[in-house]
Amino acid sequence: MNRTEFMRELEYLLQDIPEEEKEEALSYYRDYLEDAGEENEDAVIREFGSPERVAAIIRSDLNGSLEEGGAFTESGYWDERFRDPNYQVVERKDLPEQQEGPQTSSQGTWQSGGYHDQSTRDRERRRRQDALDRTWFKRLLRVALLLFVLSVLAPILLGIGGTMMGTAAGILGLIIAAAVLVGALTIAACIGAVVMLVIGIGFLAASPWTGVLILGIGVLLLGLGIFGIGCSALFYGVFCPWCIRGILDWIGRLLHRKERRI
Amino acid sequence: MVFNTGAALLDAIVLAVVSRDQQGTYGYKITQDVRAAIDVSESTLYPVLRRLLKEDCLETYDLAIDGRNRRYYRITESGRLQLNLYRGEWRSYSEKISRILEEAGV
Repeated sequence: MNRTEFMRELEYLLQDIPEEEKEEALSYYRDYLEDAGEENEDAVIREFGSPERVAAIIRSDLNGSLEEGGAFTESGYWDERFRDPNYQVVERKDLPEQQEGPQTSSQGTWQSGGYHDQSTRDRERRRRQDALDRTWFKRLLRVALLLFVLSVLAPILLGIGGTMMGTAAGILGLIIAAAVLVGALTIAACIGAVVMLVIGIGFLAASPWTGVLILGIGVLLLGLGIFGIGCSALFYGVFCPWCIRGILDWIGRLLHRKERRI
Repeated sequence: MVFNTGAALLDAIVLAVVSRDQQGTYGYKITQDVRAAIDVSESTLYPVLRRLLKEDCLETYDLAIDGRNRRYYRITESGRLQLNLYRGEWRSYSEKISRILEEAGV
């Protein structure tokens, strides 16, 4: 176990003590490991015993029960209640546990892996399993119901679906046609305007009136072209993205809802 | 190990160790210094320091070291008084024990 793992474990074990006490204890042990240096890290953590043991020492001290039991011997602090992680000490009902509620306090034992309370753990596992079973059952039920409804309504749904698909395709076609048309008209107007203006200038010398007429038509086409460019900009830049986004949103929502239902 | 160190004696040792540094000292160093006399485990001084803090025998301050804060412990005036009391007690206690042990007819 390295320093990070040890600290993470210790923090987890001290979750239920007051924040201030927890921070103080954690920063002490963090400091301690930091000051011990990397070369001593392993030895120090081994001597700590286990995060569970350190947590038990911190907790019992909080409740002032450290003074009553235990003594500091030449081989370390010695207390029947948390003798060593390697020994099993049954009956530690005098250790402070009241923050965790009454159910965890009586049957815990200290084992090499740390504190174990069989009843709480079992209960927790059972509860989780139950919840899992329930959600699975619900899901199965929903899928079955959906399949049933689909099979009954299939003909109608197919009819409605077909009509809707047709309508949607028609609308899509119209939109595409409009898109192409606006662009084509604009381009045609612009080209026409240029051609007319060139021809008009050509005619101007030979027969001025015809030239002026053609020039007029050119200018008119030019106006239409500019108007078309404006329309196109609006159409391609604003309307088309809006349309596409709308369609994508709609499809997305449809898929999402379908997913949620299953 | 043969003799146990009681909580009071450990308090006395910790106070003595901390009082040696005027500027104060920190958890890891205190532990190492205490271990020069008795072999306490690395993890066990935290409750002792905490209790001495609560009894106003020690005070703390934080000092930035290598980009982090290290907590320093310093003895207070009442800590000094307490240490003196422990000293006197220990002197008479250890003298009596020593005398009896030496007078024993081995």
